[in-house]
Amino acid sequence: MSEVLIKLRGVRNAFGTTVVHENLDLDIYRGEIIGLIGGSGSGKSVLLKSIVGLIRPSAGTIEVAGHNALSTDPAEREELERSWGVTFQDGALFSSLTVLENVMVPIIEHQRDVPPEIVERLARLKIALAALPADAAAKYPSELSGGMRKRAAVARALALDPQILFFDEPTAGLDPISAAEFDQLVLTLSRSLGLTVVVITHDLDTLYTICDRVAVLGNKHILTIGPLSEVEHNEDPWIQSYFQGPRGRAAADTRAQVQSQAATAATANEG
Amino acid sequence: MTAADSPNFEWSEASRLRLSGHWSLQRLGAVWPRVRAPTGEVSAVDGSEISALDTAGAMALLLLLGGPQELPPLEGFRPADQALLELVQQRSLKQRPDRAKPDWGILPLLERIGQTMANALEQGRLLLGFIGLVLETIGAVLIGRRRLRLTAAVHHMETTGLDAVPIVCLLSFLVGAVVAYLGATVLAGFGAQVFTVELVNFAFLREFGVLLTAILVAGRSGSAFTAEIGAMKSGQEIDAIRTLGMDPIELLVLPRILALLLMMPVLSFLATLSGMVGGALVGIIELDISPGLYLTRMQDTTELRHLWVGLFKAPVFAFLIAVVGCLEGLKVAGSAASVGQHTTASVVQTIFLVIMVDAMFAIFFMKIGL
Repeated sequence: MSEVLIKLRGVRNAFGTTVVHENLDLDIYRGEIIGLIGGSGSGKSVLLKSIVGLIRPSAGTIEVAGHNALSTDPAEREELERSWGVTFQDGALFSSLTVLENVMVPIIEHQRDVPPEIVERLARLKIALAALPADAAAKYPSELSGGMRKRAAVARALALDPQILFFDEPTAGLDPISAAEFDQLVLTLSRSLGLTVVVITHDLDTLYTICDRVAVLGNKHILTIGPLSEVEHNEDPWIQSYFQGPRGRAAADTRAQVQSQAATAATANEG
Repeated sequence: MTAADSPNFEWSEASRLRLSGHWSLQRLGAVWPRVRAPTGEVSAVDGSEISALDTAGAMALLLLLGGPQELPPLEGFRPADQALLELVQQRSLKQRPDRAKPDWGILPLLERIGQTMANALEQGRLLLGFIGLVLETIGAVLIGRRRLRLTAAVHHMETTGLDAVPIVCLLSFLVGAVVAYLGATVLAGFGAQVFTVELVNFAFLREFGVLLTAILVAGRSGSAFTAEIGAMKSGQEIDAIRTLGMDPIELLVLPRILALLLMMPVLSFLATLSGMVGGALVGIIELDISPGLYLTRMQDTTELRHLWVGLFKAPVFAFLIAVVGCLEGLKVAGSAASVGQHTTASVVQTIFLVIMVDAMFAIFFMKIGL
C-alpha cells in the first residue's frame, strides 16, 4: 500500500466568493478503501467532482495514476476516464435503458473492438459481480429497488475494469440489511479486483466495516487522515462529536463486539 | 502498448494452454475473434507470462476453456490473478444469456390500438371528473365553505397575464402583418386590394386574436402549471398539503384557473389590437392604402359583434387550459421524468382541445348568424 494513486496538492475550489477548499492536500494509496467524511457543506461531493473532472479547481494539481487529472488532452482524458468508475447517490442509471444496456453502453462506446456477443457476456459478468440476480439484467431502473439500482450502478462503473471506484453516499436511503450487504459488496470487489475505493459517507457502520483509512474534511482542507482508530481520537471538536456521539459509540461498540466474538471463535476453534 | 505486452495464447502439446501478455479489456481486441472453446480436455493452464489480468481477460480465458464447471490446474498465476479468475468463474456460472425478443405481429398491433383507445377514454373520464371537482370547489367558495386564495390568484395573474403581454402582442402583430401581405397578394388579382382591411380585421376580431393567445398561453402557462404542480407532486408536497388538512384544489388549482379566466380576455383583446395594427401598418406603408381610407373602410365594414364573438371564447379556452394543465400536474407520479412527460401531454392536449373547440364555435356562430 505504498504507491500513491491519487495525489491532490494545493487544491482550491470556490463558487463566487464562497471558498470550499483552500490549499487542500490528499494522498490516496493503491488498493485501499478510504472513507471521506465531513459536515454538510464541507465540500465532500465537490472534492469528488473535482477529482473526476466534473468541476475544475481554480488552483492546485490533481494526479490520478500518474496522469494529470486536470488535463484537457483528449487522449489523456480517455486514459483517465477509463481508470475510474463513479457511482452516484441514486445510481444515475440511464432510465430509458435496461440494466444490461446500461452496463453495455460504456463498453460499446469505448471499446469498439469487442464483438457484440462478448459485450453482452461481459455486461452480464459485471452484473453478476455486482451481486445482482440474473433476471435484473432485462429490467429498467424504475423497476428496481433502491439497493438494486445502486448495485446496477456499480456494475456500470465496473464496465471498463477501472482501477478506482468512487462512491457518493452508497448506503444513503438503504435499509440496514441492504446497507450491510452493500458494504460487503464493496469490500469483496475491492479485495478481489484490487480496486482502490473512495467512499463519501455519513454511515458510521460503513466507516467501521470497510474503510482502511478515513479522511476528515473540514475548515476547507483535510483535518486529519489515518486509520479509524487514530482519527476517532483526534482532538478536533467536530471529530469528537462525530465519533463520540450516541450513533458513533453504537457503531464502534458493534464493531468491537464482532471482533471479540470472532476472536473467541478463533480461540475456540484452535482449542 | 508494445508488442510484447499484447495478449496471446497458444496450445502446446498435451492440451496445455500457455498465456502471455497484458490480458485486459483494452488490449484484447485481436484475441476475441480467435477465442473459441477447446475441442478436448484441457490438462493445464500456464499463466506465468501474464503481465496483467482484469475481469475481461478472465472472461476471455474462461471462454477459451469452454466455460468449465471446474477450472483445470492453474500454473504460475500470481495469487491475485488466480483469485480474480476464480471469482469470475463462480459468477459467470450464474449468467443466463436470455433476452426477451420484441413480439412483432398483428396481435400486438391490435393490442396497442386497443390500449390507446382505452387510454383516451380514461383521459376523457378523468378530465370530466376533474372539471366536476373544480366546479364543486368553486361552488363551495361561493357559499363561503372554502376560501378564495386572492394573493395566489394575483401572483398567477402577474406571471400568466402581465408577463405574457410582450410576447403575445409581438406575435399577433407579426401574424397580422403576414395576413395583410397574403391577403393583398391574392386580392390584388381581382383588383380588390382594399378588402385586405376586412380580411385582417375579421380574422383577428373573430379568430386569430383569441386563438393565437390561447396557443401561446397553453405553451407558456398551461405547461408551467403542469410543471409546477408536477414538481410539487413528485416532491410529495401535495401529500403534505392533504395531511395538513388543506385542499390542493382550493390551494393550487382554483387560483390558477381564476387568474387565467381573468387574464385570457385581456390578453386576447391586446392580441386582437396588435394584429389589427400590424395589418394596418402593412396596408398603409406597403400596399399604398391611405391611412384615412383604411380607417374609414374599417369603420364602415367592421361591426362590434365580431369582437364579442372573439372575446366570448377567451374564458372558455382559459378554463380548458388551466384545468388540463393542473390535472396533468396532479397526474405526475414519482420521478422527474414523469413531470416532463405530463408537461408534454398537457401542451399537446390543450392545443388540441383549444383548436377543436374553436372549430365548433366557428360553426355554431355561423349557424346562429353572428
